[in-house]
Parts: sequence; structure tokens; C-alpha cells
Amino acid sequence: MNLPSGAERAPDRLQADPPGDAKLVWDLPVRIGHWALLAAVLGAYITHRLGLAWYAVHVWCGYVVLVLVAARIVWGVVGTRHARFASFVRSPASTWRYLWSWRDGTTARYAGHNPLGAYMVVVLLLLLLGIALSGLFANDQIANTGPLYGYVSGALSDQLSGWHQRLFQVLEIAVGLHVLAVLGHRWLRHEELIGPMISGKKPAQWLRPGDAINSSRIWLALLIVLLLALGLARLVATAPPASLSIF
Amino acid sequence: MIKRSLRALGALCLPLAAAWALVTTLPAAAGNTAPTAPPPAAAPAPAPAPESGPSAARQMVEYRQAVMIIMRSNFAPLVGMATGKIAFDPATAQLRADRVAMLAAMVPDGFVEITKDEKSRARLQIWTNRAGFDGHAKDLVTRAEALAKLLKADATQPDNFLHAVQAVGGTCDDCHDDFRSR
Repeated sequence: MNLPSGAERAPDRLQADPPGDAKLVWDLPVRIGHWALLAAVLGAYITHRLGLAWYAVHVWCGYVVLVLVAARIVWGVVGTRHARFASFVRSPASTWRYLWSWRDGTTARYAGHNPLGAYMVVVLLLLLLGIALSGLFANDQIANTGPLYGYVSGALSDQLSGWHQRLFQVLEIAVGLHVLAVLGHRWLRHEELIGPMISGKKPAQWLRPGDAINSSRIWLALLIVLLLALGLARLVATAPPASLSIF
Repeated sequence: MIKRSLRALGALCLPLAAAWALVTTLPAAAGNTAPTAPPPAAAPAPAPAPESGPSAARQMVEYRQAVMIIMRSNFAPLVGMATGKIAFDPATAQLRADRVAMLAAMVPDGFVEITKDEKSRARLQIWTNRAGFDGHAKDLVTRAEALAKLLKADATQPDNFLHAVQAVGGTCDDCHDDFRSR
């Protein structure tokens, strides 16, 4: 077998596939994590807009984001095949080649993340991590303080609150690009990416032998989430009480 | 006997007196080498500040920052009561709300143009978009007064207490978004 490496994963035309031909690519933790993150970020945004009274819920959304992102990062090391950073983060050169191949439609399809999407995954995770972490120490200048506010000075808290805001503005742009890219795959290449992020399955004809995964390792994922959540709970519970008011 | 004891007392007094004299004259002697102690600080100077000490502009910044600190310390308990974090107490709520309403009117005082170049988180837009700034300030007064009035009208926790508190907090947010940098 002497196939050029590009050819072996370049089945270009996607036919409508019988569902039976789809194979599992995204494990359940990745899928649940993805949509739960979306829900938590939306929840955090909405509760922020709703004002002071919703602050407690906003904080809980932040906890969910933090645990999910941290778990996803751990999962990127110990998770299933396509969830691992090592399997999807590629060199800038091959990312550029991938981008360039869109020009003439010879783009290879990927069972997991494509090279450009891989960078977006990393960017989104880092942004969410930064936003959630800075939120722990933030204050709203009016009445509410983040759960770990008591650990930092007021000036540092102000700075971190600024980053909490600024990073969210960057996140809005990144999420916009992420959604545009998914729609671009759908409209320009007839490649459906949303379905697989729900069902976990991609058509067998896109996949090379060995691309499909056998198990979601759900118990391992649950254990990771549980440990991270307990760690965060302990951190928050032992934080010194703090308030913007001296009364 | 008495004479002798008096003499002894005198003998004791002499070194004491000498010591006392030494102690009282020493600072004066030291004063010859060290700079003389400054005269007691004058009462806070009005607008044109003395050459040392904070400038008039700096004093204005400190004044308005103080107003903000007092403001948030009086407002935060209201938020706590409105969101159920602390128990509602009519007297405390009324007191805090009255103070917030009083302070609200003081907010724009310190944002005078001479403070433009002072180091603070105030954005320059305060002076380039004064109407916008004053609009927020006016909203704050209106809503803070509405909150105080609401509590006066109803000693128990009024139904729209949370709503009224949120309205005040909203103006803080709006103004900070536009005119305060992080």
C-alpha cells in the first residue's frame, strides 16, 4: 500500500448516509461537555444582563464553566482518541496547508477536529478558563464580590474584573467565528458538524480504519468532573468572607 | 535628726534636679542639629492648596472616591436584603436608602474638569460627553429617591423592593460601563 498521505483521508463527496453507517467519533463526555458549556455560558451572560438579583445564579454558571473547562483540559490528555490534544493540535504549517486547500476544494475531512478548528478549541478553552478564573476574584464595583475576592487586594480584584469583561468580549468574537466556521462547513462543503456533536457519530466513509472509538469512558469522565467540582467547592468554602461594604 | 534627714533629702534632690534639667534641655540642644519640628498642621486649606500637600484637583479626586466608598457601603446592605442574603430590617433599610439618596446627589460634585489629568479610573469621556454623564447622575438621584420613598411608604419589605434596588444598581452599572475604566 503506497497511498499518499493526503489521499487516504480525502473522500470528497459526501453522500447521504444510512444512519447505520455512522461510527462513534465524539465520546459522550465531549458532547455533553460541549452543550453544557454553551448552556452555562449563555446562562452566565443572561444572568449578567438581568442584574444584581441574579448574581448568585451567575456565580453558579461560572462554577459550571470552570469545572467543565478544567475537566475538558484533563480529558484532552486522558480522554478518548479524538478528544486528546495530541491527536488534533497540529503544526502551524499543516494548518496553513489545510487552510490553503479550501481554495480548490481538495480539503481533507477529519474524523476529529480539523487543524484550524483545533486551534479554535484551544482558544475557546483558554478564554473560558481565563474568564471563569478571573470571575472568582472579581467584583461588580457596587455590591457583589466573587467567591475568592477575599484572597486578593481590591486593586487586583478591579484589574481581574476588567479582564473578566475584556476576555468575554474576545470570547464573543471567538464564538462568532466558531459558529460561522460550522455554518461554513455546512454550506460550502456540505459537511454537517452539528449533528455529530449531538449523536457523536460521523459517516463511516469519512473515517479511516481505527478512527472510530469503542467507548466513551464515561466513568472516568464522571470521576474527573466530581474531583474537580469537590476541589472547587472546598476552595470556595474555605475562602475568607469578603464584602464591598464595611457594614 | 530632722536636720540630717533634710540634708539627705537635699542630697537626693540635687542629682534629680540635675537629671531633670538635662532631660528638659536635651531636646533643645538636639534641635540645633536636627531640623526644627514643623508647626502644627494648618486646618485643611481651601481650593488653592498650599505648595506641599495634595493639589486642589487631587483633593477633588479623593473627595469623590470617598463619596463612592460611602455609597457602596450603604448600598451593598440593601442589595443583600433585597436578594435575601441578609435579613430584611425596615429601619436599617430606610437608613441605608436615605443615605444612598443623599449621596447620589453628591456624586457629580467631584468630577470637575480640573481633575481630568489626575490619576484615577475616571474616563476622559466624562468631560467630552458631559450630558451623558450628567444623565446617569440624574437617573441615579431619581431612582435612589424612589427607593427611599418606597421604603418610607411601606415599613414591611415592599413587593418591588428588589426591583427598586436593581434600578439603582443598574444606573451604577450603566455609568461605570461608560465612564469608569477597569
